[in-house]
Amino acid sequence: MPAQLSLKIEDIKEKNNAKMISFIGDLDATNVEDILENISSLMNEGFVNIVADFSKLRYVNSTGLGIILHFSKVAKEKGGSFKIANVNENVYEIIDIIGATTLLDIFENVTEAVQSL
Amino acid sequence: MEKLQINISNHRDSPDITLMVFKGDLDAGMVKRIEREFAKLNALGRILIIADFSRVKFISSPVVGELMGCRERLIEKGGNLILIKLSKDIRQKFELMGANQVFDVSTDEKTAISKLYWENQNKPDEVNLSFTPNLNLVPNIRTFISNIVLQKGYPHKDVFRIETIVDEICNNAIEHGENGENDEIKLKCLIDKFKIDLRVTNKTNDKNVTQLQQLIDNEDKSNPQQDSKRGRGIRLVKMLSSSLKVEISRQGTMVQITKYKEKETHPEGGLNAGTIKS
Repeated sequence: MPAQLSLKIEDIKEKNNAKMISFIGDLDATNVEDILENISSLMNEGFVNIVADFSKLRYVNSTGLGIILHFSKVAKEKGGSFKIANVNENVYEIIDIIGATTLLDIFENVTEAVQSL
Repeated sequence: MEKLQINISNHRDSPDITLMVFKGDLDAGMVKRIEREFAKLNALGRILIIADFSRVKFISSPVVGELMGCRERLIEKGGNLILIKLSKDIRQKFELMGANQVFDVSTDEKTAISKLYWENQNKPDEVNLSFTPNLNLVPNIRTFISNIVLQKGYPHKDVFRIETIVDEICNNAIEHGENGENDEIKLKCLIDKFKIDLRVTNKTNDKNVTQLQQLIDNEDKSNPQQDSKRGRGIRLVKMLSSSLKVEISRQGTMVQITKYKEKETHPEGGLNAGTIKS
């Protein structure tokens, strides 16, 4: 069965075009299309500033990371940003190996990520 | 007190292992006899021993002490002693004496044999899986293999890396191989104390051969900035593995990976790029 991943989407106070999205579970090839659909449709509705809370993201593979990079690119093209916070050690290693640490906005915690919006 | 009998034989399935079946009570008067039997085996080079206690009701503290000494002498020679089928009373006695911290105890012969081979001969455990080319199977497969590796005492960081490697190579086999309903992908894992060897084989066709070859050729030039949502898997596997070998032919694709446990010295050193035969 597909890996379990759910998204918890919340408003960010005083930021009209921003959303906080918590990723809960494993992001891989089996669920990446659903995530792409969900977040793309948010961005198309005008929510172009996203803070992704990865504190409960246990696992990401190269396909999952590809989608994250895609979101980052699309958000910038739309004049927004896709920021990541609370990345665990294992997930960070994957991002680092793929060479994406300089391409993504990575923050220690969501407070800092939100403040940078 | 029931008189002690000790039946000693080569294990029928694993003749390099000695099976000692104890029957009766192991009182203090049996210490010398036990010492002699172990000394004989040691002198013959029979250093992998399973002691079956299923027919033992009583064991004295001096005998437990003697068994500890015998075990130490076996270990000095690269062997070991594993006790199996201890009764509840004997297990409790071991706990009181702290002997449970010293001895390896198993419930059955098969587990004891596996432990002896793993610890003392570094014989790898083998896991073979075959599955249909369905991406939805991959999460369970990677979890299964990573749990085995975790149980085998690999550090958590390595467990995660191995989970990632399994995930990526299975995904690649599905995405770049034949996708017929009756086609199967085979995953073979050999796990020992120092490393894991993974081999994935699957059928392929001309189109997939070209595609995969291009993917591997282009991987070194790949730019993470490219908009492709996919294609980083091979780079990731290369960086996480100790070595990677890829053989592609019209008959099929074989990807072979070795991953050494972290901080173990790797005789070849560093990462190794793929070999492609078409």
